[in-house]
Amino acid sequence: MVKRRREQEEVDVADVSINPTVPNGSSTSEEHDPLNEVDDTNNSEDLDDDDDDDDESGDEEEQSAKRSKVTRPQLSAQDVQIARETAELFKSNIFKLEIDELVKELRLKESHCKLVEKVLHRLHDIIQQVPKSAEFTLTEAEKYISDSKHKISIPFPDPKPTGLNYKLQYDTPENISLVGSFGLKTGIQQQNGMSIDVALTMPKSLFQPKDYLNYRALYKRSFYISYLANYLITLTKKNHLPVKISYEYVNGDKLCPALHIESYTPDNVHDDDLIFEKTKFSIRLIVGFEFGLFESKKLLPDRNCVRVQSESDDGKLPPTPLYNASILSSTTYNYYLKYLYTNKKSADSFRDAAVLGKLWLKQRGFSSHVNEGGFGHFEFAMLMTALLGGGGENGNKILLHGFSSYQLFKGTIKYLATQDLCNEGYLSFSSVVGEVNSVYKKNGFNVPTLFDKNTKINILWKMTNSSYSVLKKLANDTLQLLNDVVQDRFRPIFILSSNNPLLKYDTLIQLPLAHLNQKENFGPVEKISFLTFENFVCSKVHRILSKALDERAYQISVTASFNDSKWSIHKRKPSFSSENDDKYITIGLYLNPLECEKKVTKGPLHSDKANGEKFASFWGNKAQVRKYKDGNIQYSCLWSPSPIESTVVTITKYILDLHLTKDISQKLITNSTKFTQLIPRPITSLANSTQPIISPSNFQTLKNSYNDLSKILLNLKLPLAVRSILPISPALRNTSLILPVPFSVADPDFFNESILQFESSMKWPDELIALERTKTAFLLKIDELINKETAYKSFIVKDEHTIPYNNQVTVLHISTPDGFGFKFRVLTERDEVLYLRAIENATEKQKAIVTNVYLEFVQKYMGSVKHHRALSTLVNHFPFFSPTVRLFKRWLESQLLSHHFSDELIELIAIKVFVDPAPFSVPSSVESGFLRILHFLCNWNWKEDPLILDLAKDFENSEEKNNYIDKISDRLTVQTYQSMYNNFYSLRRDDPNALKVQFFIGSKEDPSGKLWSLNKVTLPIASRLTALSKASISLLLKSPDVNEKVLKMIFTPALKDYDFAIKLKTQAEFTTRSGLLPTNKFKNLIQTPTSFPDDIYSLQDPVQAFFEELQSKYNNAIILSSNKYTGLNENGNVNVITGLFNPSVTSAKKKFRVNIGYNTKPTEDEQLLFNKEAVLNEIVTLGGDLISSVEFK
Amino acid sequence: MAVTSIQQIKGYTVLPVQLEPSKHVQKSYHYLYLKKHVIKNQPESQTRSLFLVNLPINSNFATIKKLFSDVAIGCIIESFESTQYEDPKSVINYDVEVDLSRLTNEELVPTEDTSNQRIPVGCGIVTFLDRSGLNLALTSIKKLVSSNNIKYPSWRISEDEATGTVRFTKSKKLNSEALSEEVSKSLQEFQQRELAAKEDLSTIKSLVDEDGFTLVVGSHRKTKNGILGSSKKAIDLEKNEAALKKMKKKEKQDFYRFQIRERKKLEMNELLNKFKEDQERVRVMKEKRRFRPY
Repeated sequence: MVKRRREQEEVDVADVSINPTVPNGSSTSEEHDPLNEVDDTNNSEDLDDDDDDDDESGDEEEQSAKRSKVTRPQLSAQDVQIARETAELFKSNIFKLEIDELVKELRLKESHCKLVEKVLHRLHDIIQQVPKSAEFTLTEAEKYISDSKHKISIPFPDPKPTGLNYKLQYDTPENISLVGSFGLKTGIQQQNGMSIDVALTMPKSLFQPKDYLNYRALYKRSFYISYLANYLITLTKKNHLPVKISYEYVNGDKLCPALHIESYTPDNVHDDDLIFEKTKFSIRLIVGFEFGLFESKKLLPDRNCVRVQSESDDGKLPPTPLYNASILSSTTYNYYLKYLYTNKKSADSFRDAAVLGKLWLKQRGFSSHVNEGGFGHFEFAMLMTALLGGGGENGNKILLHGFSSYQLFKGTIKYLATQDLCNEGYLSFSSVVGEVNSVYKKNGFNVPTLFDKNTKINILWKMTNSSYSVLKKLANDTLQLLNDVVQDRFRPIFILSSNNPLLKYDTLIQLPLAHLNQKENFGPVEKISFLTFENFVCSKVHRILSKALDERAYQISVTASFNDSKWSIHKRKPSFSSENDDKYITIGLYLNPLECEKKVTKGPLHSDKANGEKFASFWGNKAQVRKYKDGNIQYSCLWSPSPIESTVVTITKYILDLHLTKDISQKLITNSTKFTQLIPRPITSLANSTQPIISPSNFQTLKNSYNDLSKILLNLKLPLAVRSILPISPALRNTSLILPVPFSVADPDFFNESILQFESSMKWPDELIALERTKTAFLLKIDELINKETAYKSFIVKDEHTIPYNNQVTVLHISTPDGFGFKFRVLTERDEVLYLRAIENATEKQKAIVTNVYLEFVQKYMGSVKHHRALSTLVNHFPFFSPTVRLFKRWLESQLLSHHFSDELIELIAIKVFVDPAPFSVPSSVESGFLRILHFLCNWNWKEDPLILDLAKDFENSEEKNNYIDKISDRLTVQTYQSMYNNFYSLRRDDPNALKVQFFIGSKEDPSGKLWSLNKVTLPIASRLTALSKASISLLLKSPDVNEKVLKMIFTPALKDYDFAIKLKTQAEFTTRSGLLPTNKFKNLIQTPTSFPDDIYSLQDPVQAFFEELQSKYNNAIILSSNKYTGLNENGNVNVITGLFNPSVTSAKKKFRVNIGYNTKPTEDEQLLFNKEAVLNEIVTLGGDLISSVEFK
Repeated sequence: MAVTSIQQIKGYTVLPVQLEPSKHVQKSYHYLYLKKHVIKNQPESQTRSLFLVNLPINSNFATIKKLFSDVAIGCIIESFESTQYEDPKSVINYDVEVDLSRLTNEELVPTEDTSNQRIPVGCGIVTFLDRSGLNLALTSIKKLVSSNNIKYPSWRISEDEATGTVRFTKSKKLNSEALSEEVSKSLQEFQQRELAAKEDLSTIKSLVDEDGFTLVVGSHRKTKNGILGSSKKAIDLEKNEAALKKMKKKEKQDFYRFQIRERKKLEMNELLNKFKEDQERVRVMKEKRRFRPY
């Protein structure tokens, strides 16, 4: 309410005219007032924050101390007011504070602005000194410019003029003014510096009314610019403004060159020299025309303004929307600045919202540049302004002037996300100050449209349909984050950048421009409607692919991969345009995971002849007519499956070959197969070579076998019947690294584990060890029955290490006649009671130990069951989760980390990018999933941030939760989120350095968050994971074309980092024995195992047993690592065991103690030292014939 | 690698044991610290045992016997006990005794003689057949250690214990019959103990105390602790929660004006506190440079 009232006052004040032109120094100081005013009310502590960038940290602490002193006594009615208000106007208090802080952080440095203002003043004076030129003909002009001592070229746009029947001339600009975000004071700090736009208006006298036709105005401007540049070079030197001048296109618009001015430090600096190199600012001198110079009606988007010879018979020329908009835009630099400025004045939070919008777009790779979506700060501000003046279907206001910055931002995002400005309708507004008449109109133009009735410009003219669809999707993603009431989503919305093409798209395909051979199709008509060859090709590719991929892709982004940035003033245009060697067309696909891998593309029914013919002509040879089970006869395309190439890539290759350029598929660059081929392939793919490696059907035979066995177990005649069999094995939830293959006994995960529960009974012994023995008795009974009555074979194995101190656990192993293995352990209703009782009875000293024992029990017998249940649902919902997590496991394996992380922990980390994908979307390809996992890992500061996952089965993101079913949905609620967060908080309070629990991963299955990290991961290993993911990501993201050598390196362990590395070589090979397809063997030499050996252990990998023994004997002194799957290594017979000495044990001398627990040697002063040499000797002796070499630091 | 010159450490004799070199590693030495095993109630002169510290890998009766026969011919070893480190999960703490069996149900645990002290981790006790054997061993070790230019005994993981592939592809299958026998034996023992405990219980039941009361026990109760424990808990509960809950229920929360005022104040304060907390959080985040988008 308060805000609303203030708005009206503000409107009155805003009428005071403003002049944002440069030389008016006072405008800036006046400018800062409203800002401070706003901040004052928000936060009493902001006055001293401008300079804390340069301060040392010590100073900062001092400041914060001061700050808290200042704020404490002010806990007043005002504070209460703010606290209440922000909870309403913003999402929550914290969100508002975060936004405030961010806006402050982004503010340009005061000192830099002051310096640049001086520069601008001087530049202004210099421009005024440039003398008027004579009237030149084209040849005279060219001669004049090229004869000048600086050897400049005139930046004529294509086509280069040959003879002109009008004169070119320079005259002092009518107006020089500051435009763009710097002029609007919405500039933000940017990594590679901020560019300041200065607009010069060419005098009206230089033009004729018809100059908008046939590039005339543009040629005149080109001369104007080069003449100006020529003088500027001389004059800036004379006036102590050392700068470098080059040409650049304004936002990639090839019709609109401008001067790019940047500072440099000359060899000998004069006292008066103004150098602003350090500020990283650059100045862009744009030359515009006077507002209203041409009749804007003639330049409507559907008009033709370039007359060329037309091939069509009726002589009708196509419209030239890009050309028209470029000319009109050149007349409106000042005009729109004033318009935006007035609106900014009238809405308090306009500036902050514009800053937020600018950052939001920037983090997602959008800008006003043609190749970067054509939607940047200016377009965002214009849209926001239009929405302040209406925007609804009846012209109702979408945004109000009293809105907070958050509300303005969210409203604009929501509008972008929900209103279709392309096909269904468009937004029309009028840029006359004070006129409120934005209306959403039905029936769009099939191009993104935000139409200004006053200037006749479509503000979104630089956007393409493809970039618009992407923007809409991003807005929609962000809207969902903004609607999230459970978690604080500030970081993914504003802080995290999601601009790397490898990360943001599911599949990235690059077409080399040089091989497209499309020049002959780029005739004069295309030239005037698309302006550039790249635009033409992009649009064509987008059209083809949209049709070909249809439902398989949600959005298709097609852009040129390069930005013609500045170029030398000695050239007419950027020089490399003739040879296109390093230029690519980048196709980024956002895929629909449920559709994209389908093997059939269905077309119209056979009876629908007209459409059928279209279909056939589009798909060429591939089109055929097929009959389906439902009786329909349809036109279809059948895509032959490939084990590693995704169907989408196959289709893209085919259709581009057919419709774009023959054999372009040979030159096309894509990464998809490079990643999928790293997923281990099963030996069964020999017989069935077309089965895609990522298909879930690879797990089906195992599941069938499991179900058969379960039926048998459930029907066994036992004193207590088997009540339930709960699977906990990765292969039974499609996440095992190695695919299940019959008789592959050397696979360490060959026996798939389950938990067996019997009917409840009161008669279980009331003591743990006796209970364990009773369970064994039951297993013995099952063992007997299985061996006697069925074709299955079984045996019992002791499990001494799973539950420490409980060495009586036994596990029943069963091998099935069809070649699979399963193992079962028993859980009774007494177990947990007894463990808990043990904790209760334990003494103070014992308590911590017994609690750990209990947690080990919970992990194995209960947590894993819940985990399996949750994950197996998610695996079905996210088709790409299974292959992605398998690739991720492969990476961990290759980096010797498999032994340190349980499957459950790995899967929880991997599922993060699926259930909580922000700032990206749910991965729909293996490579995007894998890269985003690594990207998440390298950004996850696990010491300070918990990972809290919503593993709900309910995926509907409904905003309203009113009906009864929604209320009992298992989605994360604020309360559970808070309680998990508090768990984390108290955990870190006790253990701030994360010595005990490194990865806190909370979910409804494990609110404690530490179940899978406790006692398993260690601090050095957790840090290593982070370091490795950082290194890998930085290597992988360097280029959009992933180098296979680099990829191989990322999947190779760095043995140098360890204290010792023992290389092992087994006599037998374990590739085929583990069910893996050998890579370097002739196919006819590979033997697939078809039966079980007498003793399964005789064929198992000895390295695993060796590693286990070492692990249990030296765990307190050495962190040991090894490959879990010897079969994945070269020839399937080499492995390595590496060790890192625990520095707390091995580095220092210790006092003599009997129970020190590790191998020692005595020192001269009767102390003990870790005996490395003896330990190493022991290890090597134990390893015996397995050892092939030892490297010891 | 040189052998250390130290012969004694804190009263223990240091016995270097040679670890044989192989293709991949040099010869190195392991150090055993040993002295006579002394326990309470038994003077030093009577002991037949030697206390070994820092046992090498795979110490068992056979390997220790071999070692002593190398050092001192003629001493006969009767037994060898040890505690060796074996903890792949770093959960076990060897300094604290944890017996899950005892912790879950003390009554049903076999009453072993607890006087038998636990051996610390990495240590072992060798008992000789007679005291002269012990003395012989100890003197020859001391002699060996103090003399120059000697050959130290060497440590073999032992001939019968295989290494490498053979060792690590051994079958882990348990023999069903043996296991079944073992299980039934231990369960029988357990049942006996259970029976004994039950009898214990029935004696309590039939016991009439001085006031003429007997303890009433439900048919499902199995143990003494169960009964006594539960009756104890019941008392606690009554005292604490039920009574308090009742009291609270009777009070009205919004009857007096001051209550309403108080509540509003509380709410306001909560809001403010949360606000302050958030401010603090943002300040911390700022210090950590969490607001840098690039």
